[in-house]
Amino acid sequence: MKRRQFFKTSLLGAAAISAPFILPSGRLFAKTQNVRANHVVVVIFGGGIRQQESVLQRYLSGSQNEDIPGNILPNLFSGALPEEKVAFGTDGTRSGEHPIAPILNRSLQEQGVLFKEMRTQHVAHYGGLNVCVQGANFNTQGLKQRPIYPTMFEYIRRHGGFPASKVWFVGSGIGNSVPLLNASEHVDYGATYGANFLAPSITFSDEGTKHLSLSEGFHPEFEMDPISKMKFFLDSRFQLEANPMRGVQNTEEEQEEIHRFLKDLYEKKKNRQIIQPIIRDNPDLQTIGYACEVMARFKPNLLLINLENADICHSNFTEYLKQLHRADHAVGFLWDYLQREIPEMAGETVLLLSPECGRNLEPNPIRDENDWFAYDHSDENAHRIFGMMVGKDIPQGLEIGKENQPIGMNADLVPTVADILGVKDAVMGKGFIDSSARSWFDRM
Amino acid sequence: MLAFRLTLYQKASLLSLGIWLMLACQPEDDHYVYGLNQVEVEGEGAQKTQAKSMRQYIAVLHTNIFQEAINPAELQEIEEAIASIGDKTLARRMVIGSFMRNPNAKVPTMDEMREDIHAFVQETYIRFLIRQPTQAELIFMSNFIEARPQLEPHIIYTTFALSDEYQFY
Repeated sequence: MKRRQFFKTSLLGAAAISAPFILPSGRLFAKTQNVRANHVVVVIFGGGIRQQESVLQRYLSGSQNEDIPGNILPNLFSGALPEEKVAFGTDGTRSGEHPIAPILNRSLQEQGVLFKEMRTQHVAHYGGLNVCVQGANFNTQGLKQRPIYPTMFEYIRRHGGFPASKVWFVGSGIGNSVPLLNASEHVDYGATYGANFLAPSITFSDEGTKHLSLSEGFHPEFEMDPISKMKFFLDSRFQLEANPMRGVQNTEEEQEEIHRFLKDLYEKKKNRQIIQPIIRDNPDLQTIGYACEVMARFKPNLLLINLENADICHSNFTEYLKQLHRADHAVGFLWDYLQREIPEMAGETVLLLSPECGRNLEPNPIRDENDWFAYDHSDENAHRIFGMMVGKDIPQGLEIGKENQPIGMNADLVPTVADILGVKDAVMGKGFIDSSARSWFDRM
Repeated sequence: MLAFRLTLYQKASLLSLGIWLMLACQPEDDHYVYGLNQVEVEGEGAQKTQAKSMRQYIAVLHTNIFQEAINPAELQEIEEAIASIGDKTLARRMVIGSFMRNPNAKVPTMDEMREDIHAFVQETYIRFLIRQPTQAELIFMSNFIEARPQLEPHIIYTTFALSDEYQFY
C-alpha cells in the first residue's frame, strides 16, 4: 500500500470509528463511566417535612403535648402505625381516622438504603429545591431567577447525551418559581440542555384545558413543512441575539410527540382514564398520576417529581399529617406502578427520595382543629432531613448516619444522579456543585 | 539704461503666466467630496430591540387574532398555562392553536386570501410585525402561498406568531 493511500485509509477508518460516539452535546466520546441504571426517579418533598414526624416516627410525641409515637409513612419506613388519635388518614365518623393501607409489601427502607440523618444547606422554599437540582447553595441566587449554575438535568443531558424528551421535571404547581428550575441560566448549559417541565395541576386544570387543549397537531406535509420553511424565512430576516421566550429545546419530532401526549391526556382526563393512585384527594396525588403517565409514555432516563402539599404545616398540623401520609401513598403508588406496568423501567430504575428541607423544632402559635401547633422552617432543626435510595443493585436494609453523626445532604442528589447515569466524573470535574457534596454511593 | 526686447515666445509665456496667476488668485469654490459611509446591513425588523414579556406576548397575540383586547382574567389564566409547560415554543403553539379554533378569531378565509395574495401578505406583515414587507419578502411569501394551494391562512398566521421577530417590539 502506498504511503498516501495508507494515510487516507487510516483517517477514514478513524472517522468511521469515532462517528457513532459524537453525541448531540458535541462530546467526542460517550461517557466512559459505568452506568449503574438506565433510569432515575427523584422525588422531593417540597415545602419541607420534619424528621420527627417522618423518619423518627414520633407522630405527636414531643410536639403536641401527647405521648403518641408511630409511623405515618408506612410505604417509606418500617414501623407500626400510631395507636391513638389517628387523624392523618381518610375520613370516617371522625376526620382522618382511617389510615391508608400501604401499597408496598416491604417498606422502601427495607428495600434500600436510608440516610437517616442528613443536612440541607437551605431551609426556605425555592432555595431548598435549588440546592437539590443545582447541588449547591449560592448566596447570589435570586428567588425569581433561574438557577445560576447548571442543574442535574443539564448535566446529564450535556454530558450523557440524553434528548430532552427523556428528561422530565413534574412539579405540583407553578408557585415559588418552581417552573424556573428545569434549566439554569449558565452560559455553557441553559435551556438547550433543560428538562421538559410539566405542572399537571395547572396544565390540566379547567383553565389550562380551556386555553391549551383545542390546539391540533400539524399535518406533516401540508402544515408542518410549510410552517418550518416560512419560519426559517421570517427568522432569517431578523437577527436574534437571545431568545427571550426560550424554554427547553425539543426537536421538532419531540415537540410533536409531546403535543400528542398532552392531547391524549386531555382526552383521557375527559374520559376519566388518567392513571391515579387509589386515594387521590390532593394535588400531589394527582401529580403522581400524571408523572406515571410521563413514565409510561417516555420512559425517561431522569424524572424529578416535586410534591409540596405538606407545606400546609405552616398553619395546620393535622392537615400536614394528612398530606405527609398522602405523600407516602403517592411514592408507594409510583414505585409499585413502575415495577408492575412499565417493564422497560422495572428493574432498571433507581428511586431517590429527600425533602427540600426540614421544619422547626419549636412550633409557631397557630393551632388547628385538634389544638395542635403548626411549624415553620427556619431554625437548626429545619436543616435536618433524610434521604433514601432504592432500586437496581442498591443494598437492602442499610442505614447510614445518626442524629449526632449526620451523613449526607440533599445537594448530594446531583452527583448521585450523575453517578447512576454514568457522568459523575464530568459533573464533579466542572466544580460547580458544593465541595462537600458526594454521590451517595461514595458515602456508603 | 537697459532696454528689454522680448521675443514672441517670451511674450506668449508671460501672457500665459499672467492668465494663470489671475485664475489662481480667484476665490476658491466650495469643493464637495462624495463617498460612502460604513453602513451595517440589518434585517427589516432590526429596530425592534425590546423583548416582549410573556404577558405582553399573549396580550398582543390576542389583539392580533381577535382584533380586541384580552380581559385580565383570561390573560392571567393563559400566562399560567404557558408557565406550566417547559417547552415555551410548544406552549405558545398550543395557545395559538386554541385561539385559531375559536370562532371569534378574525382570520381570512381561504378564498379571501387567494383572491389577492399580495394584499394578504401585506396585511399579515402589518398585523403581526407592524411593518410593510420588503419587496423580497412580498415576493417570497406570495410565491410560497401561490405554490401551495392547500396552505390555509391560519397556518400562515401561526407561523408569524411563532416567528422570532414577533417576540420583540
